[in-house]
Amino acid sequence: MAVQERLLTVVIEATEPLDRESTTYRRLMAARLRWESEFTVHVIDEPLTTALITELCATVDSKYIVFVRQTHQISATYLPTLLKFLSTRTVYLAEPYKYTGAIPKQIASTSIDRNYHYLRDTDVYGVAFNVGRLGDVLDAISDVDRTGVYLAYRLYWSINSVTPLEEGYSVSSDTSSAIGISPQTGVSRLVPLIPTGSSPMRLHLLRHLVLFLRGLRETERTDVTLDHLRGLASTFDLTKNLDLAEHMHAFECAWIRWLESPDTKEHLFKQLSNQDAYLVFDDASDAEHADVVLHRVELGDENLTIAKSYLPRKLRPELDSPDHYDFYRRPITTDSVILFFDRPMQADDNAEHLYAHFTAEHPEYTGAYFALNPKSPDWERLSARGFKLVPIFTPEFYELFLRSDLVVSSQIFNLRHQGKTLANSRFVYLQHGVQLNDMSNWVASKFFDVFVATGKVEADYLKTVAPVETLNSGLPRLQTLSRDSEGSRDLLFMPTWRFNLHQASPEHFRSSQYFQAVNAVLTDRALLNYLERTDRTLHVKLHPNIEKRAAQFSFSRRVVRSELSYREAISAAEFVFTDYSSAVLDAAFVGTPIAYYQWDAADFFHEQPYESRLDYRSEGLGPVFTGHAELIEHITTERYAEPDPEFARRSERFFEGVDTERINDTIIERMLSL
Amino acid sequence: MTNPAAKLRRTLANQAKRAAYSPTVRTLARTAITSERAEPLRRKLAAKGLDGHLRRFTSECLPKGMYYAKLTIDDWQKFKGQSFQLLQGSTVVYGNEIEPPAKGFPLEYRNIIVTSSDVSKFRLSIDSSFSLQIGHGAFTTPQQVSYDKQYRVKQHGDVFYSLRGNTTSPSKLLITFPGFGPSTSRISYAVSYLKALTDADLSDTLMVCFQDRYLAAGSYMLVDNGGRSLVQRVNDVIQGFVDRYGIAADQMLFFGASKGGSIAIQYAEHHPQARLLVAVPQMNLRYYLDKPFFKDNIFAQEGMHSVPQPERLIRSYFAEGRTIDYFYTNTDEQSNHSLIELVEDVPGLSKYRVDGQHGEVARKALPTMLGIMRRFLADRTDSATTAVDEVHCFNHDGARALQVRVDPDRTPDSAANWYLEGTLGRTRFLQFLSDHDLPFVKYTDERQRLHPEIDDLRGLRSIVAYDETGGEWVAPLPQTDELTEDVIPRRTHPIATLRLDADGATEYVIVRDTIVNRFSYDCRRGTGDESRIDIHIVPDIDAFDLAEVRHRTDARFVAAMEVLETGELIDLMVNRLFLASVCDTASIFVHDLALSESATQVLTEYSAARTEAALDKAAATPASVFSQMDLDPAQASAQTV
Repeated sequence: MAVQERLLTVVIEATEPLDRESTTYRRLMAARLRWESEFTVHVIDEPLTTALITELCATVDSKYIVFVRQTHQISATYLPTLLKFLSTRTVYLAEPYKYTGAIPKQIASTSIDRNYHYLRDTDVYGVAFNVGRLGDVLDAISDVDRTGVYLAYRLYWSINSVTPLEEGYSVSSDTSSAIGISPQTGVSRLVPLIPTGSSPMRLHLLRHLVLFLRGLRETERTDVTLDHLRGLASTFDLTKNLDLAEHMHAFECAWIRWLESPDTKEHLFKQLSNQDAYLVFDDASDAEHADVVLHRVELGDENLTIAKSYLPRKLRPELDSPDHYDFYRRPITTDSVILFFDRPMQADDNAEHLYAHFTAEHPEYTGAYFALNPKSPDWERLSARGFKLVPIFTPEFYELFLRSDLVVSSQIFNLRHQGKTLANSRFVYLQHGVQLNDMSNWVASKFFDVFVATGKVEADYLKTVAPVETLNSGLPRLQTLSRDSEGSRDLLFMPTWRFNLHQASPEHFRSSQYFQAVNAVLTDRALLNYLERTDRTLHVKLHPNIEKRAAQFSFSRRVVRSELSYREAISAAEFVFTDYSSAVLDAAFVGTPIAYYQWDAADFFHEQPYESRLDYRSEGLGPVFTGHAELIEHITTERYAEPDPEFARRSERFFEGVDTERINDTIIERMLSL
Repeated sequence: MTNPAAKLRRTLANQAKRAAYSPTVRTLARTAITSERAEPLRRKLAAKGLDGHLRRFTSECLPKGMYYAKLTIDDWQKFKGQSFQLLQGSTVVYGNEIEPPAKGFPLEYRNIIVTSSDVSKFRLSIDSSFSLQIGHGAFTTPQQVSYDKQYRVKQHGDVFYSLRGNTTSPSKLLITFPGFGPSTSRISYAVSYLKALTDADLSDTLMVCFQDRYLAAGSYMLVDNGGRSLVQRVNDVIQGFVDRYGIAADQMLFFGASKGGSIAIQYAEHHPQARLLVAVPQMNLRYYLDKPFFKDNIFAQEGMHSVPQPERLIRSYFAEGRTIDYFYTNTDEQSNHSLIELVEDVPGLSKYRVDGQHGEVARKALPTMLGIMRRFLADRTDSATTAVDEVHCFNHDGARALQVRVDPDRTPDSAANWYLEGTLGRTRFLQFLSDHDLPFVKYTDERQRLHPEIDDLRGLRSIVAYDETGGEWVAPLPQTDELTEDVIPRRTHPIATLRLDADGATEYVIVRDTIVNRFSYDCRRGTGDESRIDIHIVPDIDAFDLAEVRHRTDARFVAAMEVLETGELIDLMVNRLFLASVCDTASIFVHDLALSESATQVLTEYSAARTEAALDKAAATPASVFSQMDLDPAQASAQTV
């Protein structure tokens, strides 16, 4: 008797233990109520690859196959709708609306415009493929990476447009936008170069190339050839739609322009005051004339150097045309609008401190504004202090942005309004903290005129990508930070968070190594006894991303959740420890002892977008513990309170060049001279 | 077998129809039925569905032997872009260039005036099937009927207009005149209704929107369908309003764009204290209408050319110091006819130079024009002060460009136009500026640059904005040497009209876009009677003996011209002389060995186009416009010396 063919196989990719309580899993299972006989669920515990998909196509007994990553989200009736649709017709594929963030309530009101097509995730997830046809494609095109399979499938079968079903599928985070995608070794082409006139497809392909190039900036090694990339750019005329990619991936856009016109090596990247920063692409020589080499990329047997050069403004003919407005031609004067902001919902960071200093010391500058969300708890506080507040990201804010001669912030937002961006206007980036991870690729792709560094170590690192822009002044908030812990009985723990726990169910979160390690500290009997005995309190400052799960942690009389600001909490603590937070450096700056508890040091940087720049053990400003017991012992024996000349030496070197009394003035002098 | 009773009935019916459509009866009926008192009767007839009959019956009565015709061309797709003529026997009665009609409608030309009701006497110059309807009453379309209803256009004798605003006791009069619509429009006769003006705006004002409902697409309100002058009839209507409401002489504003501008100039004649607001009016109708769209229709109306041309009227207005707001573009030499571009030191004149094609000017400057009207309507003279925060100048091969940043807190909230303002003697000059994406940045784009040879860079004073509500913002222009550094000295250009009796070398200047070219010309009456002008292009006009030459030709006029700068626009100069002469043909003699190759080429093309146009004509029309084009200087010399 022939085996009855099922309609659909749902492949769940679960590289972590399967979270059977997650919303996504429960929603998938709920479809069994009506459609049990029509689909099967197949869980794989390894990352999905092209080879695995090929194998699955050969083995599953269903007509269609859909891949769902367990950390992704689906709308409530995603699977029933998919099944119902597929049960009545034979199609190449069926797909929902795809998102990177939360799935909206009114899915049908999602506008399917250029922007949607560009931003739509084009990995295989969430899309129901016809198993037979997918097998055909993979027989013909077995050399593409999984990330290119969906596009290859559509190109192969000339599927120019797809009307999405009224269901939502979210890949839950836009990490790929930040770090790009990196095909497996051996993959020599991203997609087959089968021409298509379809605008949506061209937008998808542009996004794919942008993310590939972004990933390539991280790996600097690929088997994909330059010829293929050039073919991709020209076959699909990708430069035509770069306006959609520009504000998030200006670096990659410049790269694509060079791919299409290799003779133009220099591409304007950021306007500056006296010269401009260009990206220089060179596959012939070694960019020896460039100011900074940013990347040496191997593409198969070929090498590409991407450098940064500071070139005279006169190279830009548009400056001779009245239809081009040059924000730099207008000097910063006492009438200038100067816009400061920290995070939208939380001030108390470097911009606030610099603003306070600037307006107090330079009252003649009457156009200084501080932007903040009126719902932020800081609004009232700053209003009472006489800050000239403007609601951030409102029309009023953008109007001020347009008029402003300078923007100063501890955050980099891709501000863009009526042609004004941070690429063509002045921006001082104060940073939120000191960079301990190697974020040079991120730094190289951002627009700023000044990048504030704290200490020689960080400045030297930043100068490798931004020699002109780096200013070793120290963070503004450090100037007024004081150690207010005389007689303090407060210890402070500041755990950061983990990307992979974003969508975890409560149970899955509780079972995570992260929760276990943090909660073990909070509930350690020896520590609690010590706190009780010495009348101390352990304050735990949770990362904002973990705040909503605070109730799962075991707080007690001696272990409390800190409601203070970072600044207040650090200032008041006699000892601060963290896993990876750079905020502890504020404590170190004012001489408060710190320590690192890195229970997952071996895996941490694999899962994060960035690599550690700092060797915590040899360069850290406090001891590093990987074991729970060591940490508890360090505290309960009060070793933390003993002066350590090694850490004092390291600290001195780390903060070298920072003149605490002149931090703000140094920045102000520089910013007013832009 | 013929039924005698039926025949008798038919005969009587035809006689009755003839009697009813006789001029006497219709004139009487029109006067009675279109009077205000007959409104109840008109409503009653309309309610019975007889409004169509009424309209035809009361339409203008043509002189005996003249009829209205409606031409429908079937195969227009095949002839798109081509010229055609409708011939009655061998006479061209109508011509145009074929453009696609409105989607879903046939290509129709209505209200062509013919002198036979026998359709078999008509033919088309192109090989397309066509139909012709001929009758005593004017033709219309449902769209026109509905348009007239929407805008309340009413017939008053032979004059059509719509009334808005205060119709009982106005103290002001705003009179508008319409431009041309597209030649194939279903609504051939529009009004300049200016919907943006509200009842509140017009609370003290009677607005009269005239409709140019004559011939196929309007007659500049100069002649009626029978070719008889309308001027007195329209003047009487306007004067009637002035008298009825006791409107003060300075409380009137005449407005029109393009054709409407020319009409406004015409009918402002007897109102020297009225304000005149015009955009791209045609200064010389013969010159403007000398193109395929008009050549065989409105251009052929003698009455169009027998009245004083707008150019002559407006020159007299300039001399009177009337208050005139005049919007124009340098890309419209056909309308400008070398007057507004160069005129200066005229008191009361504000000239607004807007870039773009003829048709773009009124649209672009609409906020300003509405603002001017509203300032007039509300007696506003107020002005707000704003500031220029930054000014940057750019030099583009001698031409100057400018970018300003204005105070963003002191700018209009509603749609506005920005200008660079200066003075040219007693005349205000305003150069339209472009809006940058950044709302506070205004600049001169490529077509808005200033040219030192005609623009007084030292006279630039301010940046001004006008918004549609009537607001005015003025910001002094910060002094900057960049603007005037190294500019060539400005020349005052002559603006005297082209004369056929120049009697001595006279300078004449033509402007088109950024080209300003000067010519020296002389023109005399020839001794011959041939309907021709001989135009001699000479290297030195002072050394050319025109008095001698005029005796050696049978042409009616002889002219000599010397190119003072480059050869550019030479064809325009030749054409202006030709059209001014009202001759059938012209002969061009080139004596100037130094004339540039491009100028020679332009003349060749011009001559060929004219000859081709002439050859397209039916046999009975003049054989050619240009009988001779001699480009061999040696031969020219031999001929003329």
